[in-house]
Amino acid sequence: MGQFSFQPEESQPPKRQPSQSALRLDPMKDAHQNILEHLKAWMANHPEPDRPMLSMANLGVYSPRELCDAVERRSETGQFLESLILFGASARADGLQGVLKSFVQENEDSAGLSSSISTVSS
Amino acid sequence: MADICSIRPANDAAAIELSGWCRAMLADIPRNHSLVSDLYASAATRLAVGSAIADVRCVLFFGHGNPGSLGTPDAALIDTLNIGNAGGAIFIAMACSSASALGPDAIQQGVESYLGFNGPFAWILGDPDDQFRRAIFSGISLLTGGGSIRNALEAMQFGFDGADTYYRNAQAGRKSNSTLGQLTAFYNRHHLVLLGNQAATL
Repeated sequence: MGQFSFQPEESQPPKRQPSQSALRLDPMKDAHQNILEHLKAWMANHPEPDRPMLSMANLGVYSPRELCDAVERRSETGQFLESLILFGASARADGLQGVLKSFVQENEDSAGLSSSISTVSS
Repeated sequence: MADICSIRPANDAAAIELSGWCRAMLADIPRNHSLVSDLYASAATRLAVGSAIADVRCVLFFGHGNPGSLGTPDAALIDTLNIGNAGGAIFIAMACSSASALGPDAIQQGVESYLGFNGPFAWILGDPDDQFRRAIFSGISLLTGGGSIRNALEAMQFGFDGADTYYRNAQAGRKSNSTLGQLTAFYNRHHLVLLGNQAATL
């Protein structure tokens, strides 16, 4: 599948806690481990981690949590999700790091919203 | 030769969604074309499918697929043994992977054109932003409106490009699930292929 490289970023102070682990790839870990870690962060921040959200015309429907489990088990679905990420990363200037970063960051606002609602209600 | 036959097994959640897309498209087929048969759910048996794809100009399949067959792996509806029944037809398979092995086989056995995916076909469940269904719909509408199957391919690719852009922009706005939307649109765009006669029309 597509090419990607691990590019260490200059260390920067994290702006928000949820994305702290999402802002860089760990050069000591392989692509599978990096993808898994970032997907777990994505799932943890996702407003609806157990709601089915991805359909595949031969593998069925999956929630964010099931997608993470599939990647962890390296099932057929997990392998497809990894290939989807690597294929997309091969076409982006910011590569795998950029794809994984957007995975985690896209839920930051909803995570922040959820926590503020919790605070108000408590 | 009659016009169009549709096959939509609807045998699980993903296939039910695809079946709905197909049904919506069938409602928009211009009156100068006729829908000969619409094999839906349990009506889509291997026997019925093998018979229905004979002597039609265009076959629309919306459901599960594998490299060598359409249908589920343990219950193939179309494979190398009966794809030849669709000889002379334009075959459109909105399913995973079938263009990698069944597609070339189909062309070898006389199918005029085969449009499908040579890898998994995926989308955001429910297509909440109407990006994926619209991409497919735009291609089939062009074909039924008088365009070539090549025009249909290009319209679908354009549609997936549009979905890619839509979700890329949504990422900037931190919209939930937009990364998967962008990745699946991009993947679909580059794994949709057309085999056989590119100039075929209905």
